[in-house]
Amino acid sequence: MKLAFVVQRYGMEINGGAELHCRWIAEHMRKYSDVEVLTTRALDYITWENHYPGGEGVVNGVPVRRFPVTRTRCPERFGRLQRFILENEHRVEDELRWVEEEGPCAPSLVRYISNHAADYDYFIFFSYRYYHSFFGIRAVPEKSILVPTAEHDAVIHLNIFKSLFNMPLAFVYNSIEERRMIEGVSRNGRIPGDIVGVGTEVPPVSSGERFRRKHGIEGDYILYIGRIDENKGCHRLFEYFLRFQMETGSRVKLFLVGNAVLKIPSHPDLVPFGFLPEEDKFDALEGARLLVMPSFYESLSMVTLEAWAMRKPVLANARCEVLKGQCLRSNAGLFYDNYDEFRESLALLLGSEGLCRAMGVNGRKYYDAHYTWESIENKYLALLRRLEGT
Amino acid sequence: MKDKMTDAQKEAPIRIDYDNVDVADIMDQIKQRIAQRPPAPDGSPAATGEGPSGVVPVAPGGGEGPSAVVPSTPGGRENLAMRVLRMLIRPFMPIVRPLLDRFILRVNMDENVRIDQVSDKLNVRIDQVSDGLNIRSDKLSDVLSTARENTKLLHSLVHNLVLELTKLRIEHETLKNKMRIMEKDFEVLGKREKVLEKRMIE
Repeated sequence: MKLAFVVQRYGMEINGGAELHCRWIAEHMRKYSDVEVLTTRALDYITWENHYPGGEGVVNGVPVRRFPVTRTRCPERFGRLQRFILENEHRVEDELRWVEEEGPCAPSLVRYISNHAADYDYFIFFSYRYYHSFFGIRAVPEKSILVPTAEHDAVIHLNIFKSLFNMPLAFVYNSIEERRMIEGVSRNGRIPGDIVGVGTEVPPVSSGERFRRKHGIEGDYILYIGRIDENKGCHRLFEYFLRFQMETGSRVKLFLVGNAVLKIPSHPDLVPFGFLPEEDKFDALEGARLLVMPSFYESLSMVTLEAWAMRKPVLANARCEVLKGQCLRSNAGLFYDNYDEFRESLALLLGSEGLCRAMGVNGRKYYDAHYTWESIENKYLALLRRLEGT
Repeated sequence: MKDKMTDAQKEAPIRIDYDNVDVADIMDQIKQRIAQRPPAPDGSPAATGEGPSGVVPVAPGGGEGPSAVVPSTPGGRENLAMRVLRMLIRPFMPIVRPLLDRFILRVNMDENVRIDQVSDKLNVRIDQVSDGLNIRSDKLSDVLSTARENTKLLHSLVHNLVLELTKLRIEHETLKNKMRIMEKDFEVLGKREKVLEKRMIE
């Protein structure tokens, strides 16, 4: 069996989102079938400028075929268009223009898919909202499997996506909430699909003590891992956390791991570390009291799964249906909808070692049941077998 | 193993069964605890939830502080009047008290908590119903738009049929005319045939 993984960007430098999700799945599925990645030459997810050399190559043992992006994205123009279509009556042509502006515009990638459909058994498309999925699935609907990685944002309600969600042969969802949302938007319940997500690997040895020694840390800290961005809810997290500190007199610190797009308030209890290597990241997680995940929009949150794999409880934003649902199903995290709930939940978690421990155990159980690589690979294989049988 | 936790403010304890942690139950208890708190004064940060950090609202009319100080005048006169009134009512109190107990509504915190819970459940139910209605409304709007499209198609189909029928009728007329002409031609040719036959015999 030959599988083509189609994704907007691909490379070792990309350390999050659907691209990393795709890379991990492709690398793991190599054990069971011929795998090739079809992608663009882009690295920058804002402009999609060509960065990697075109043609064939190999990334971490996986063959990759790259196609050029013919038009870079202008964020201002894209923002204007998106605002227009979300706030005004518009035509289908405007939505199609939105897809082209969204990019990464790579017509040769779509042409390749169309011309070489017979060379592959299935095309697994990642991220529904980009050019490669929108036009790629149309080129080979009978061989397409879509991993939508959809978040609860407004563009999912665009008319063009209703028909797109009814085209693929099958779906691989990240969560029950994602499936419910997509089925609600497009009523595509008849299309086979499974809730799979992505696995994660935890280093066998990690040491919170090592992290504390390395950075000279004393006292308790809670941890945020990810891009420090308004889109991730970090501004609200800073506001809530600083207010919590002032009201309760707590000495706990908030450590921030990840690149900062947002200005971090200057405060001794907010400690940015920037981007950390994997080993340091897991050491930081090991030493933390809990992981806080303030994002409004997540289709899965790999960091949350990593925290549970490390037996750490999570404090999540309840506005994100996926995170709330994961906390409820795993019984391994609390969530907040406003400051009062943030304060109560954080105080409860910080005040009770027993609760943190019990939630950590639950988190690990949830991870073992659903997100080990063995379980993820088996779900993909079961879906492919099911498609072969039909 | 069961345990009880209370926060510094001595509010309702949050019950946690560590052997069987139930996040939904903990969150319900947290929401309940927040709902039980007295509302913060209007405009204060706690009331709006958006104000600057660290401002702790002062309870109105608390036991200490300026709001608890009784003014000498005219409040002093009011207190005197109240004392006189109480003295006058006192002989009748054995009769009045059972009536007061019976008819004056008492604040029942348990009932309030129950009402809050019911209200929360109702809100959740309303959300569910609203979601359901939205889904149904989407479905209906889809059905409606399909019906609209079908009507448009039927309309254009009828239009095309009328056109085709008109064309057919015209063609039919033309063919009839052609047939009449051909009949006449046939008649003329028959006459010519007869004339030619006569000439050949002659």
